[in-house]
Amino acid sequence: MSQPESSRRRVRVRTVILSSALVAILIAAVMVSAVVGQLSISVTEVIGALLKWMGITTAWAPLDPIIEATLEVVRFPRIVMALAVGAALAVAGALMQAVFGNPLAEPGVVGVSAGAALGASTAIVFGIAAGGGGVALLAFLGGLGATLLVYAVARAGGRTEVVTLLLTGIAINAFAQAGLAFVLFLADTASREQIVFWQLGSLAGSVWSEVLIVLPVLILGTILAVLLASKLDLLSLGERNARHLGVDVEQLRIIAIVLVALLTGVAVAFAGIIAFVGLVVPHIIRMALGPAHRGLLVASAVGGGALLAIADLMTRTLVSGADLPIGMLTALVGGPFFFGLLYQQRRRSGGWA
Amino acid sequence: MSNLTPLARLESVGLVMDGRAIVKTVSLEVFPGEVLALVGPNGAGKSSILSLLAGDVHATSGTALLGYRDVTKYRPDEASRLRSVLMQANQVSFPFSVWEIVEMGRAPWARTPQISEDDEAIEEALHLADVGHLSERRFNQLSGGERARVSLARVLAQRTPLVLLDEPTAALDLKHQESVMATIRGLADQGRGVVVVVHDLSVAAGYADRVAMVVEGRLSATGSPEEVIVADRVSDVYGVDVDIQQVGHPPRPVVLPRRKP
Repeated sequence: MSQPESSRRRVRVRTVILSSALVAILIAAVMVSAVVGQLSISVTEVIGALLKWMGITTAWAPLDPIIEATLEVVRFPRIVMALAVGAALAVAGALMQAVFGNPLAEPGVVGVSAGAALGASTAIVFGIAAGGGGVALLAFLGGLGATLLVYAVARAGGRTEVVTLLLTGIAINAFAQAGLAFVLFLADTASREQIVFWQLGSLAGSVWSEVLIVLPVLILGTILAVLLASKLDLLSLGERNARHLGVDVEQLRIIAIVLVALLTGVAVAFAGIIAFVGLVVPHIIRMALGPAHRGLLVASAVGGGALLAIADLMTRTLVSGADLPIGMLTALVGGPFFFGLLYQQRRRSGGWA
Repeated sequence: MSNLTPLARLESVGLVMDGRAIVKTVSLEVFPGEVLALVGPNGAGKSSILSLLAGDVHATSGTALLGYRDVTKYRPDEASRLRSVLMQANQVSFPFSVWEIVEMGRAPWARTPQISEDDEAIEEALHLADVGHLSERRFNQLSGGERARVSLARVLAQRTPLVLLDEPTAALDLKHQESVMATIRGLADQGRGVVVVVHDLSVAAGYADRVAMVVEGRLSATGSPEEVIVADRVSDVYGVDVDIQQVGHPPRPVVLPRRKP
């Protein structure tokens, strides 16, 4: 019997192929997003502008200041925001699935996003500024509260059954929606519009100052998550087995839950509820790379960014002159996907296990 | 064996859960180089005794020691280098391969000099549990008996002085039952201490140095197989009339239920 060197090599080859494919998709999505819009800009102008910001002036740099301003003020903040929010949601999804030991756990499905949206809208309506970060802070707290609630209610013996998880999600979503409705009722017209935006999700009007809040949280959260990767692998054996193998399960769970709330909270605070990214992306990556968390988390971050960049491009271009809500789009794709997953799980376990 | 230091020791340990006394004043020592079999009827508290030894649950009274210290006082990573545990049911949440699962057994040794043994330990564990041919398969696609053997391989790869096994042979066919018990015997012969919960009294008698009979949360008898597995006691504890024959070299008791013609 020999060490399965061949299978390791196969995994390595797959990893390389998948990462290159993901990066290619990501770059293509970024370029197309930068080029397409009301003001059409050429690929060379985009590259020229990027190089110029890096301090390299080339002949490609856009001559028209309007083009440069459009890229700098409108398109690039939105693109980077799409990448960051997508990555944050996908990493949060993968983390949540690890903690719940269930591939169907997802911040949107189980109500964490709704909790965060409730927090964010509360901050808007009651004018809680907290030094400018009030919306983000309350989104985080709302998300954390919802995560802890699902966690407390839905888990038994270190695992979460599908039914329990989904029913808990329904309850938390219902409660958060009721809260949102109440806040909506209290709000004035301007705040009301902002809250509707939160419920549907949108990346329109992203500005650099917001991007600069999301990016550090994403980077820190992803690095911490990757550092936990091998422990998350052990957690798939169940909590007791993980403990027998030296994992401080309590500590791991708390860190992971705070990370989920942080990543989801910051994404929701600036982009609203965008469901199913955390479900679809890790699932596809797991099928391609296998379930080991180190690769899964990194690839999910890249894949989530690419997916949301493409989705955002579609919201801007599907109907000319209109910006569709991105949360609607991801739910339109993610809903059937979720349905398929449920069906598959049910068939495999012969019932609602 | 009493001149050796025990690897683990229960000192008048009691365990109450949900108001029910599951384990009552049990005292037990596990020495290096021995196989100690825990036998007894369903629900007698065998798994709970194993959990107490593993440090999964806190004793309600008395103390459970791993080495010289209270087992629940260890950091998880310290304990994981001293004792390994095979639980009865083993599920895996995500489709990890058999190789990856067994590799997880090496996690406690990351960042220690023993990391150099990783590949060899995994190889050996796969071989001993006879799952080498499955190493690229997904755990979730295996049969019950294969899963049990993969989980055992993971525990073997951990290479700890104390090994706690809860029904390692429950789902196994005759061949694998015998090879797993021989592997367990081999661990003890290398100087490790093994506590194994077994239902088949003849299997326990065939491979264990000592047998502890657990009845309603107490140890009703502890001693060599010949001392513990006697017809009167077995009939009394299980409520089934049995004959006991001594078979093999050296002779070991084999339990035969008396069946109506």
